[in-house]
Amino acid sequence: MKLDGKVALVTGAARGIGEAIAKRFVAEGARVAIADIDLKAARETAEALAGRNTGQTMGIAMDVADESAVNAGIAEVARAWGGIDVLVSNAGIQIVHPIEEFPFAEWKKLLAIHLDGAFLATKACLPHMYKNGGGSIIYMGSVHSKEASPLKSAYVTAKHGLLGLARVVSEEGATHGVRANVICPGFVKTALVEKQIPEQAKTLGISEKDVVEKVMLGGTVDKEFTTVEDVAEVALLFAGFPTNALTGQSLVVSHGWYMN
Amino acid sequence: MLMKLDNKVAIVTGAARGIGEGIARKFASEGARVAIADIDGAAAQKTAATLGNSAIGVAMDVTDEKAVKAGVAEVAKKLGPPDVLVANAGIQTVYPVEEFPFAEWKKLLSIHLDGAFLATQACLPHMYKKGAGSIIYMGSVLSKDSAVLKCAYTTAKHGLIGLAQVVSREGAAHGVRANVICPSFVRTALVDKQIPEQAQALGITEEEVVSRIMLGHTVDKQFTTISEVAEVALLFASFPTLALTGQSLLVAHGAYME
Repeated sequence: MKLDGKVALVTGAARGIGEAIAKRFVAEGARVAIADIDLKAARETAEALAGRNTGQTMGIAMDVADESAVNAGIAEVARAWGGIDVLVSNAGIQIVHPIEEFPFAEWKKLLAIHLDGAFLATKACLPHMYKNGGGSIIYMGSVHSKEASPLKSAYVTAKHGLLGLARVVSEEGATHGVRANVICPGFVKTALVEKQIPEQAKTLGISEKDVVEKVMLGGTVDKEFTTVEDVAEVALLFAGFPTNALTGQSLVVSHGWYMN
Repeated sequence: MLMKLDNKVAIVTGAARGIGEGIARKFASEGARVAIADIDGAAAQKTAATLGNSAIGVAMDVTDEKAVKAGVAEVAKKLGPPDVLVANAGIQTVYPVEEFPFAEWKKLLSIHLDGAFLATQACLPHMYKKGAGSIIYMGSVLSKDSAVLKCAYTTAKHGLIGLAQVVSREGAAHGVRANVICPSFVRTALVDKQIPEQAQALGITEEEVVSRIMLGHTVDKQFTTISEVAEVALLFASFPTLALTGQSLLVAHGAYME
């Protein structure tokens, strides 16, 4: 299996894309820490994914915007399993407002979760990876790492920012065998996206059907949502790739919405 | 364990040697029946013979419409209709723009662009009939970036990105995907040949060509390898949905980050 003997930590993994990645990694033999701000949900997901292989997963509490919480969570995983080979920095939220109405506190909150969260988890994992002489860090970007949409100033800024972070980590990490990559999905029908449909319909003054067909899938080649499994497959590629040939890259997983 | 390309038929152009050969080997090891297309028919046969798994060699000048059609028809007849096409055949020619012989410009563009177009055109009807297929174009870091002396190659490799994107749009309704792999320098015969050529053209040592020009922007001063490129080709060839269609992926040790 591609991740036999590897230890992976996925943030925001109690549900949605993070959960699917954790599931894929477990199936490929990794021990996976399900980190989530909601500890109860993290533990439930960890238990469900492990099935009979208790000990292959653990659920941990992690507010990724809180430095000591991130450090403590990653230390706990490293202590239990002897290191960390793969980090998937996935935790994220979405908040939509036109810029002139975007509450500054919400802007700051979104940037903290996406950018501070990615930075803190990276910083806490790198010493373990450097010690092991290798590692793979995967950031959850978005088509919005490449392109913009109205109402999403904070999200687009944060997702673009992750590309910059990944490139620096790939430069600094190379001599230690640490790779960094970004996955850029189109709309995946998770709770986070479901929530946006009525919100955007209201803000844009269009029907929910139009939000789905025109706003969310209008740029795809086949009017299909990207699935959590599609994203998990790409995460496995980056996590399992054996060399530095794929470092510093982003891959768009979007049914053709934005071709890179 | 189920292999990733079981029962698939793949055509790889320029596959007698180098990157194409590496991809063909990887595909065969994952269960595909592979056609090694190459302008050198004898070399194609020879490589095919070492692959097993009913691989065949096909002589194909990718710039010749009739030859491409005949070659693809031969593959369809012998191995079955193609599921995967890797348009890989390519050459390199280096000159400053003002000295670039027009005939060499035309030759390079023809092999890279006409070749990709013709192979695509010949494979699509088979894929449309099946309602599925994967077309992979061999791009380069120079599909995204540029380099002195390589105006024709850079132009052609950029052009492939455009072609792939149109194929991904037109092919979607038929389940056909299109992608581009963009490697940095891979130590093939094509690259080895460039080292003394560039040293002479730029007035620097061969060592400097390697360390500064070829690997200067990588994160680890490593050449990309054929097996790294083949691994990415396998990803695109075997990906189960249209989620990755239209995309390019750099395989470049960080030489260019996107």
